[in-house]
Amino acid sequence: MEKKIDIKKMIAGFKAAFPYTIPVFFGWIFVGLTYGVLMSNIGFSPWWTMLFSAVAFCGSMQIAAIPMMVSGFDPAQMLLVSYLVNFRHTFYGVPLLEKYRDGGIFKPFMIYTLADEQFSLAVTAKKPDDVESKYFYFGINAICYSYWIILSGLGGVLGGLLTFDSTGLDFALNAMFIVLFLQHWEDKKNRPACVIGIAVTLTSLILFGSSIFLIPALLSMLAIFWFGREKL
Amino acid sequence: MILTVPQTLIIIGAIALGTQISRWLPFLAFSGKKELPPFIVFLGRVLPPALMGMILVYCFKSTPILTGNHGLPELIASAVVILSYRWKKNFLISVGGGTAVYMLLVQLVF
Repeated sequence: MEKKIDIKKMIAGFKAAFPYTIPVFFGWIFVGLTYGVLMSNIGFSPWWTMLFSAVAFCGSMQIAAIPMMVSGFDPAQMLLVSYLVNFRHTFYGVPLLEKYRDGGIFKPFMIYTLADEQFSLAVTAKKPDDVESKYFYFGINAICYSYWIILSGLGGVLGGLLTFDSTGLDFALNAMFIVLFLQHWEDKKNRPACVIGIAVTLTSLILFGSSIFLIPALLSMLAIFWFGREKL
Repeated sequence: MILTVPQTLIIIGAIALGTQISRWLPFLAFSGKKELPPFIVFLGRVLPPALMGMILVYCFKSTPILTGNHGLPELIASAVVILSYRWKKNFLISVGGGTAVYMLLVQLVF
C-alpha cells in the first residue's frame, strides 16, 4: 500500500471534486443552520454541535436525536434508532467496493463519511481520467464533511440572527438527486433498476408511512434483485 | 445542557456507532476477497440506479399532494431541472436553475 500522500494529486482531486459538491453546500445551508439553531435551543454550544457533526456525521439522524436527548439519556435506544435510520447505508457500500478499493489511507475516512449525497456523487460523477480515483472520491467526501461541520456550527453562532429568506433553498438537494438520477436513466440498461427503485419505494411509502418505509423498500428490492438476477 | 458531559459523549458515540455499523458492513464482509460473489457484482451494477430512485422518492416524501398547493411548486421546479438538463446537460445550471425557480415559487407565488 502506498503511504505517501501526493499533495499535487490531492489538489487535482479536490479541484475535480469541488463542482460536484456545490449543490450539496446549498442544499445543506438550510438544514445545517437549522440543526445548529435547534442544538443551541436545547443548550449545546456551537462547539458541541460541531463535535456531534464531526463524529456522528449523519444529518437526519442528528436531527432525530434532538427530541430523543430531550426525553432522557438512553444510549441503547439511540444506537438502535441510529442503525435503523441509516440502514440504507449498508446498501451504499456494495457498488463502491470496487471504487473505494484503492482508497489507501483515505479509505476508512471515505467509508466513515458515506452518506446519501456522497454515495450518489461517487456512483454518478464522472471522474476525469487524469485524476487519481482515491483523491477524487476522498475530495468529494472531505469537502462535504467540512460543509456539514461548518454549517452546523455556524447555525449555533448565528441563531435567530438570520434574516435572509432561505425558504426553498433545500430544494438544491432534490434538484441534484434528479440530475444524478437522469444520468443513470440515460443508459438504457439501467432503466429497469431505476423503475424498480422508484416503484418499490413509492409502494412502501404508501403501505408503511413515511417513518419506516425505507427498510421494507430495501428488503423488497433485495428480494426482487435476487429473483431477477438472471433477467436484469 | 440537558445532559452531563459524559452522557453527551456517550450519546454522540452511540449515534456514530449505529451509523458506522451500517456504513462499514459491506466493506468488512467483502474485504480481502479478490473475487466478489456474482450476486454482489450484480448488485453493484443495479443498486446505483435503484437507490437513486429510492432517494428521489425519499426527497419528495413529505410533499403534500392532496393538501396545500398539491406539490405544484415541486412539480414545476422538477420539470425545470429535467428539461434544462436534457437541453444543456449541465449539472450546476440545472441544479441552480431548478432551485431558483423553486424558491421564487414558494416565496412569491404560492
